[in-house]
Amino acid sequence: MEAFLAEIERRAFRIAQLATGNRDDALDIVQDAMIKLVQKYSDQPAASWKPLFYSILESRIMDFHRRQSVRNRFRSWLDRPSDEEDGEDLLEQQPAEISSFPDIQLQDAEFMGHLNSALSELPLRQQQVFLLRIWEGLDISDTATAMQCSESSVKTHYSRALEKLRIALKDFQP
Amino acid sequence: MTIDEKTFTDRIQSSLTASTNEIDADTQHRLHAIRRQALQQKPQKVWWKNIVWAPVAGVAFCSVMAIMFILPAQHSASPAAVSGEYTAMFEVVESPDDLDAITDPEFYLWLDETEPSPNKLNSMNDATAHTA
Repeated sequence: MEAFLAEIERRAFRIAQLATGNRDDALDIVQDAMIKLVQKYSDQPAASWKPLFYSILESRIMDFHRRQSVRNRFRSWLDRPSDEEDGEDLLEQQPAEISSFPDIQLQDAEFMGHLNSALSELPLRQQQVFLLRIWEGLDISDTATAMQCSESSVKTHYSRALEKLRIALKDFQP
Repeated sequence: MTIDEKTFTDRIQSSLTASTNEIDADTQHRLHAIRRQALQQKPQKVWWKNIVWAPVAGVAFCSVMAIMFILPAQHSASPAAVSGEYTAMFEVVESPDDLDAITDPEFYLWLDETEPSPNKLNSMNDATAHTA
């Protein structure tokens, strides 16, 4: 279990960070997912840990966005431009921009910046399906399990995400 | 997947993988602490996983109930004996003469005199043994 968590923790963090646009929220989501995996599924076969973990992670990400949606609705109802309780700016809740990833210093920094921006602009389900398929290497069946949707939905989300990324990153394609 | 698409997705994959190597030290430290904390959690036993023992527990419970309630009932007085006691009581209540006798204190004095006490019984047994 330790080796599995060590292997996926950074990618899981990046996926959560892309989905939330916030480092602390991403860390909280990864923490919840890891704890639940150990508590509930540590007796399951190791081969099933990855889809189970990402299923929990996706569930937590969806919960985060639901809470954000309710919170934003409540804020707009109160007509308050900023949250005085936790002192966070509304802009911090927006999808991450290139400047939100100061720790990323890649050889192809420009491509990475545009990629982050393009991924952040994708609808959440398309973004998550694309990352699970491309980055985590989950097959369609495991991705459907993790996303709790049908395999045909996975294919649709993936093809739409790929098409949008192609358009967004057309300047970097051969 | 076409060659162009494969090249494109490979580039995205390598860029994302490279980005994990650029995670700052503080975040890495927190991820390490999160992993340690998660591994210290004890697996939770789910109650419905032990449901296979429910039939066994049910049979055992029924057996205990049977031993507790059915067997003592079999050893208690038979219904015939119980109904006989009730018949005698009703006969006493129905007969006014017997009712007078029961309520008369002298009846109990007479009963005490006529019934042999345990001491009397022992002495009678000893006398019988000597004569034998």
